[in-house]
Amino acid sequence: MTAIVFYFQVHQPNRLERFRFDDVGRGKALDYFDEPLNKLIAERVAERCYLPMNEVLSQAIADTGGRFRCSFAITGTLLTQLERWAPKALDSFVALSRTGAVEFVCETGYHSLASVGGASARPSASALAGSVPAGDIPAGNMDEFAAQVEEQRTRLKDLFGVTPSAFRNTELILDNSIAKKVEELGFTCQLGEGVDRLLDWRSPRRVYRPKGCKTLKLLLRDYLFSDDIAFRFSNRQWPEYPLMAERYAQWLHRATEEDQFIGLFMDYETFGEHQNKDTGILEFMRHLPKFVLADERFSFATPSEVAAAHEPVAELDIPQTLSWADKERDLSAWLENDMQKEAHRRLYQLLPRVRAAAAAGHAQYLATWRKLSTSDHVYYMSTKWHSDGDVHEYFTPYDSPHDSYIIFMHVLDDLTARVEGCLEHKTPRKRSP
Amino acid sequence: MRVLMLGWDFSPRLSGGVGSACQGLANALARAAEPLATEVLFVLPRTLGDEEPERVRLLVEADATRAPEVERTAPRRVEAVRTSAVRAHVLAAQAKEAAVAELEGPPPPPTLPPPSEALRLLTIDSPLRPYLSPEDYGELVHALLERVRRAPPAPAPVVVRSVVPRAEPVVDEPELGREPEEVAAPNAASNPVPALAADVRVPPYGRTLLAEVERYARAVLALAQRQSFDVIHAHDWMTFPAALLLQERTGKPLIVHFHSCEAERRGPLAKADVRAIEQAALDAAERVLCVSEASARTLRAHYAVQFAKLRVVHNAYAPLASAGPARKKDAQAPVVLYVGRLSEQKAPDVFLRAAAKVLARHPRARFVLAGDGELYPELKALARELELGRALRFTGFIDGSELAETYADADVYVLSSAAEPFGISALEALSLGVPSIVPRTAGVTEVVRSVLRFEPGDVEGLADKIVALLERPALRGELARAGLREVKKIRWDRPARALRAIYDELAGPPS
Repeated sequence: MTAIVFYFQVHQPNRLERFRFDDVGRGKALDYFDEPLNKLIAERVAERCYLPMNEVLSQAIADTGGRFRCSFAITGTLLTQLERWAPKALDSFVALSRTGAVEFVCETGYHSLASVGGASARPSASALAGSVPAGDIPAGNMDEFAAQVEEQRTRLKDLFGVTPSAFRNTELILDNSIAKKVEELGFTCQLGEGVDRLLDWRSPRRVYRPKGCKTLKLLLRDYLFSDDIAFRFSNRQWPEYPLMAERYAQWLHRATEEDQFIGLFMDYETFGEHQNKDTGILEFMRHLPKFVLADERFSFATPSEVAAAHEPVAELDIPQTLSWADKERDLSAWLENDMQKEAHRRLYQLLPRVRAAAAAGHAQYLATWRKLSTSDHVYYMSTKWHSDGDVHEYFTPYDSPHDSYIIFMHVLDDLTARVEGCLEHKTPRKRSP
Repeated sequence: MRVLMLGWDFSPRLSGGVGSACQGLANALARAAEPLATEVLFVLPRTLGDEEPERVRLLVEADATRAPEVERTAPRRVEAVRTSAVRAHVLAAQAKEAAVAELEGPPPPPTLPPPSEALRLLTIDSPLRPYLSPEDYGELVHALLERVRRAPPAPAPVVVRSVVPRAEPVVDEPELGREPEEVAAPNAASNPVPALAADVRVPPYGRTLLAEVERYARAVLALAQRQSFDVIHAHDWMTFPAALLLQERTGKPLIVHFHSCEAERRGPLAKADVRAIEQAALDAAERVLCVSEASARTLRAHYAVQFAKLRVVHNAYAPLASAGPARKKDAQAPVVLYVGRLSEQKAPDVFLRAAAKVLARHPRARFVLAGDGELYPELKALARELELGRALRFTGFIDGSELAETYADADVYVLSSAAEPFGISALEALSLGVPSIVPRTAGVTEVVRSVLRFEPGDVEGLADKIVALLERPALRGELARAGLREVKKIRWDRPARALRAIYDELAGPPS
């Protein structure tokens, strides 16, 4: 029996206002975010993707009597946006959770890079030229990582009534030390990218165990089959265009008994947003379940179900940090050029001060800091013009990577000034009770 | 393939960006290897004068009505014109030098024809310059008269010289309309012209700019009718009447090249008769070239253009010889540089206003304006009003190694233009490792991505970008490195190949 595992990443960042240097220290406190834009995008994506696609999936679950199953990781930043601006979409996710056929996967609530640069994380030597040079990745913060994960876990439990047991890190960022931390935090399985240089001759369709872990199981993405849907589906240049559900199911059916599962991991916005509904992507998903289930050697399952059903076939050593982003499949989408590294470094340098302010009863700075820790902010600063630049450009709300860096740094200056002001203020008050 | 190119003096002093483009394109075409080798007959206006390439300074007394409190004590020295008539061989040598300087590494292989063989320069005596406005024409002619009056007796009124170094110099004196006559300077009241000495013969320049453009057209026709060529390629509006005449007489295909159009140069102040000339050229030409997509959009918005004629040929740049920064860059006293004509189109006032905002935060920052032009008095007054004081320096016009050093010394380069069809100077700055800020609409943004962009006219936006560059080494480093990498690929050979393809398309394949 081969399980088809659908996992959808659902995320929107909090995009920044066009902050200028003379706004630093002058604007309204912590008012950094372009709320009209964030609202507009949240509403648009809810309308084009979340609502219609949730409808397609809940129908598929109903039609197959719960045999169609899938999983989501919805970031905390998006949950907050949906609460504020698209409550109907949030309700429809809650309704999906009640079917029992959907698993909600945990992550850092802020889609952050807090896990990066942990003890054993080393840059990928095999990454393409121009990628992150050795020993030069500014570190995140593992305590902050744990705190963000905890916050998200509590939130998912409150919202969907189940404590999540599966974990996926931001954009499937993964290495030995991250996996170890995830195991410590009590998760039973983690999702990762089926990177060729990691797997070598091995199959991405089997359950593995990251080196150094005792209980954690690793489920990898089958990028060829995933990208057929996520990228190639609407490409008219693709020889297989137009891809029909029946044919895609036939491809899946070529899997053998050896294949424990096929990980189809992708952005949820693939359906209706990155590829609009005129491409037929929603209809494709509407029909896919019944074609897959037509062959009884195949089923659908959630990540935790696959992890429970199989013991790892082998240990995988992941000394270099991997992700599902860009061609390089490493951290270079976020931490390649000097602007990105500087922004990341400055952000994490500020963390102890923000923590100190929070300890003194000013939690609002930490809350804002966490919104700034969302990885999208440094993703926008990428200057990979040649290959994946178009992908970066598709997502960015700014005119250029340089503009996004300038704005982010102004905001960080403002936050720094306010936090320092608050900490200075606090000291004398403490002394004179 | 032989092209008759109606262009401009290669000196940026006289011709700005058009001059650089003419030089780059003509040289690249002429030195291309077979089968793309193209002979260029390059016709350009030059003023007659003595043989010394000396610098001429025009003294302009402070105009009391314009800027009453500016430097009352000493008359302001404005370097308004430089009318150096350079001898033919100097010109040819310059072209050769430039061509050699452009080739990197070892000297060119023997298959490349020396530029002097494939590139012939033909000069016609005329005070035309590409950015001359009808208003300033009178002033310029006045300056020329002043110069001629002081000079020893001048040669014949109209001289057309062929400057083919290997052929014997041809000197023609065609009949070109009127007899020599005195030209009254229009602003004679404020700047009285001293009486001319009787033995000075004044070249019969047109009374107005448009009359001069017409006279030039006839002179070009007289000269070019005896030449053989396959296509006509004309740069900017002042050469268009000549090109139209030639097209009519010879039946050769016409290419008109817009380095800027009147709508871009003058915005709402566009002159109707200049626009009419541009429109006539657009109607008659077989091909219309623009230096950027943005400029092509502007052209289509303001003129009737047949879409099928329009082609975009992006500019490039020629590397400047620089020995590297002359001074050690001082993070505490960074230098922000402007290079260009001091004209409305280039919006130097936006640069000054942004400078004032930056200074409020970085009192030790320094601002340099390199270039001259009609806005100089206004800018001086504005600088005073903004209290820029010693933080601001006007260098006047500079070029050559002086310009290269000025670029290399700068920490930030700013192109502040209100309308910028291309912006070659940004490429020059990037090539010397200087991070640059350009208008969002500048054509140069279509060929390089490693520049900061601001909304034209947005002073706060520009100041924000300057401040960001001054304060963020990571940003400076990224832009300098990536910018350098990008401009390395941008050489005149690329647009020259595009031109050659267009020539072939119109005149048939090379025979």
